Amino acid sequence: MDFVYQQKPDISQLQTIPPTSRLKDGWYRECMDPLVHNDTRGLHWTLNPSESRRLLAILFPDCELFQRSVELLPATSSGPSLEMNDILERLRDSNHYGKETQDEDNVKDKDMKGKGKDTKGTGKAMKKKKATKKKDSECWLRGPSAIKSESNMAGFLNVIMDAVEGAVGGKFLNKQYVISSDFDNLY
Amino acid sequence: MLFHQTSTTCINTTAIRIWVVDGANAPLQGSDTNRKPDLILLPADVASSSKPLDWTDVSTVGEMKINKSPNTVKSSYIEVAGKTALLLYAQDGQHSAPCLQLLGHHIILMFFDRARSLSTAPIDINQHPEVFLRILVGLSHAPLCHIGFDETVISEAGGKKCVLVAWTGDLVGNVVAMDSLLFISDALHGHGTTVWAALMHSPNLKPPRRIVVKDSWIDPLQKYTEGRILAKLNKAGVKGVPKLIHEQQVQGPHPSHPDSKVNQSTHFLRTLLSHIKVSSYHVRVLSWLLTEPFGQRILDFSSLAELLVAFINYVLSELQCMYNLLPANSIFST
Repeated sequence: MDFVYQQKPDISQLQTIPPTSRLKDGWYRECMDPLVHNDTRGLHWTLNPSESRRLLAILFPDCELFQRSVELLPATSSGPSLEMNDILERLRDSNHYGKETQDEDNVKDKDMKGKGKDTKGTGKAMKKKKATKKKDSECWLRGPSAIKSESNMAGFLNVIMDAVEGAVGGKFLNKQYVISSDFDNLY
Repeated sequence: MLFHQTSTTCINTTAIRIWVVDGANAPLQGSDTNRKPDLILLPADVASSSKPLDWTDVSTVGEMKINKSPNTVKSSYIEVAGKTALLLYAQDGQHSAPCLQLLGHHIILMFFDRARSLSTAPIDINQHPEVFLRILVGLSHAPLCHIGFDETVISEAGGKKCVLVAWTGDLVGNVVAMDSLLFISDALHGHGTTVWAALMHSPNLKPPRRIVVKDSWIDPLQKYTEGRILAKLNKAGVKGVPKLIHEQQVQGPHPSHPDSKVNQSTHFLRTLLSHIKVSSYHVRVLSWLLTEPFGQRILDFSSLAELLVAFINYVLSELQCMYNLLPANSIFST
């Protein structure tokens, strides 16, 4: 039998295990997750609380978020520079963060009961938790204690971001680099 | 397409990023691997469009568990790490990625780069609302370079990418336009090598030169970088090796002094976190390498004979390099 050379062979036959071509159901959970765990063992660092705050201050400093690289409309330069604590105070005023009222407790109770099977099993734990909860502590009023699904969580995060935008009194603007027209003649 | 630093201007856009859950219901496009991140952060205009969601649009991912326990912390870390690997594999302009673990009313920010990964301590969002806000506002509104994107890789309308190369001497005025992606590393750690085919337009030279652009996070402590070796081989006239056009370390804003431009390195962030020792992470700097000619992929060779000739030439060039020009250990160590 003559050997016939395949001009354009299927790439999956040439590469040993192309990482983005692994279609087997459950392969990732069975194989990739342990591989990731092994690959990252000894290469991951969990920071303590003070270092965590330091990291966040480096990655997302107030001056970058509210003054320099991100600007606000309308210009708020006449007032003092915004800081995260100012934003939090304004969210307190707009009832996004603060002490729970009785009505909000009821809303959360209804939300829990509406979840059915998933939450029935944790009902005792929830009652115990509620009993020990300090009523005078502050929390996010539509926060994760009432959220059991991804869509609710995404909604909660986006609501908070909308509230932040309202609290700063304008729209965030991101800087973007574009090509200047002087070089168009080269094409 | 890009070039010299004076050729760019800065404009303000209103592109913000929002959280969506569509990826939890159907696998994201852009990868043959079926992975469904619980939450993804997307530019608002992409989220509102009707096109299928793609890994190339994702800024960051979040994994959600109902409560925080040692088991959920560990399992969600592994899930986030796996999805971050896919994210970085899909984005040829992103070098690092902050990601979220949402565990009950606790939040953990994870940061993956080419040194290793960092994660914050679990933060109770009710007890520390300002920290929670900083994470949210930062991920949604911080400049792209703060969430891992390379400022020197610039996207044009239509999806074309450009690279900003600040060079001197005879090369000033050249324009490098990315043509196609040839290779991108799929490893979460390591050098994060990305290679493009590109066109280099010169003011007085037509047609444009077809070149290869490579960026990777190299070890700055190595005596011989790839560019330095190529320069020596080119000078000695060794045949069969690429011709070096330009090598440079890429500059970016300093983490704590954004007005100052420094060579991008994994070292700066760690030195600002006091108790992390140099020996516990990989020191890497981002390097661009421009070479020519642009050849042909092995997969596109017309015959086995052509492949064989290429391998013979490769072996002969290697022998000439090792025995006549460089100390043997310098080749093996790079």
